[in-house]
Amino acid sequence: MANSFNDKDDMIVDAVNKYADTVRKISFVFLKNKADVEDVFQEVFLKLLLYEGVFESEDHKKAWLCKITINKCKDLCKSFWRKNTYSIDEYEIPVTDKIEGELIEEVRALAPKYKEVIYLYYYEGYDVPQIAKLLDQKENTTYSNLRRAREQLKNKLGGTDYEYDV
Amino acid sequence: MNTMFNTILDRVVAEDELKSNTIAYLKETLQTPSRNLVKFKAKKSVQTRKLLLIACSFVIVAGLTFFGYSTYQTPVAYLSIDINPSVEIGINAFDRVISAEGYNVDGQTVLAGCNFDNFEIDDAVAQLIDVSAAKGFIAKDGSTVISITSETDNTTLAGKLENLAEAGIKTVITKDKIVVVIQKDRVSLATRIEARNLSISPGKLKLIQRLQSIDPNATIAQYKDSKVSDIMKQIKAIKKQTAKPTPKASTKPHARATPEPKDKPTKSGNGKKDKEIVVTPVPTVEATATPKSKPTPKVKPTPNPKVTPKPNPTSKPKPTPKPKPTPTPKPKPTPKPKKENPGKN
Repeated sequence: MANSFNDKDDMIVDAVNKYADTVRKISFVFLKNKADVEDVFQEVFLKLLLYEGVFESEDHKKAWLCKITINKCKDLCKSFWRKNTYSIDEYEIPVTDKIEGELIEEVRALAPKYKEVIYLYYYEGYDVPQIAKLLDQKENTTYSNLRRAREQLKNKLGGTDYEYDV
Repeated sequence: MNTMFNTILDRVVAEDELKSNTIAYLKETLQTPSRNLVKFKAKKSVQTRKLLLIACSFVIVAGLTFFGYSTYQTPVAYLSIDINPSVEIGINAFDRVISAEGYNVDGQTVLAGCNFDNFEIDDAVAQLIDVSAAKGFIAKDGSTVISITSETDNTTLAGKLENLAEAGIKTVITKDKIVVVIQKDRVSLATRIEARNLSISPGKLKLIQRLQSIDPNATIAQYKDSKVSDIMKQIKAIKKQTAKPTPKASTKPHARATPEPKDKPTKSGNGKKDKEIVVTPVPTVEATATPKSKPTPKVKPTPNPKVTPKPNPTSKPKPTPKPKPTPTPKPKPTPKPKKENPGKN
């Protein structure tokens, strides 16, 4: 009995240590509030530990985790309370200069449907068909969202030396 | 410069405090499974809320539909039509027929194969009379009495129902050129319940009660299946019988005269409650009949001959001196009752 408890504890620690950064990066793009990030962490890892299906590979597991985290973040963004309150308890943005600060602020200011494709495409390196599958979208929708997200970023950041390269 | 985006995100790592808090939460939660369920239930709130909204709107729509349907299907008044087929139709708040019930075998015969649901009242009554005539329940000699009885506690509605029913009857008799007597009456819903307990239509019950008031030996069972016209005949016959002895007892003209006026007021005085109307389809026939009576202006002293032409001689002991100047016209009044009789009997 004690053995099973230890196994479970190890499993929890392993899962959190392995995927905490991925979950944190996604929640960084979507959320600003510490409490929200903590909520997302708890729910995502709880869901991972209670998941009864079988992951085909580590990539599959990571993709699943990305999807769950994005959905949780979007759910939180939709909530009436969050839309109508302003948090004073925010994480610091890890930027070294003004240009980086402007870039990350503009990405975070995008609509959730644009943020998710930007993150998955540019940071995780998924191609459009993979993103479409991961987000349960039509490929055309993903293409459109990606194009619009780029256009918005270009409009806001264009003319500067850090013009977004796509 | 997408590398800049990646560089920034690379710097984003989960804080140790965040990790340790999450691990602590997971350990605590996974050791108490009941909390998991609560947690998941709470976090499914967005979907659950949508489902709840759909369910609520469905319940509201279903409730409104049920309320509307039940209101439509609830009778607020009844209309009893008695020829001999005794039929009662239920009427809802929208003046539509929602039920039809035969009170006796003839009534069920008339209703067989007919559906009056959602009919306007006058249309339903017209069709009912049409079917009754087609099935031979309405005599073409004008002897048929159709009794319309509204059953409601609302006097305004009662009047409306009676008028609509009368209009329905007139539509048919005008079309088929039939002569009938329409007897209008109204009863309360309490009387209706009493009639239902006796398995008789309220209209017929009231007629029998009227008969019982002048003939205490008459029983409901005896007249339950009788035609309305037969009951009416019986009432008239008994009235005549009670009226005959009066001339013999010439000393009591006033005492005998009282029962007769009693009847007349019930028709004219309680006009709203109890009316008897002879309806002929072709008014010109009546028009031709009236000129015949015109040459006898002296017979006019009998303004109440509508019901009893014969009693005139009984009540004429006093006016007898008047006919003196007209000895010859006397034979003329005699044919007049003959013409009136077919319409009334």
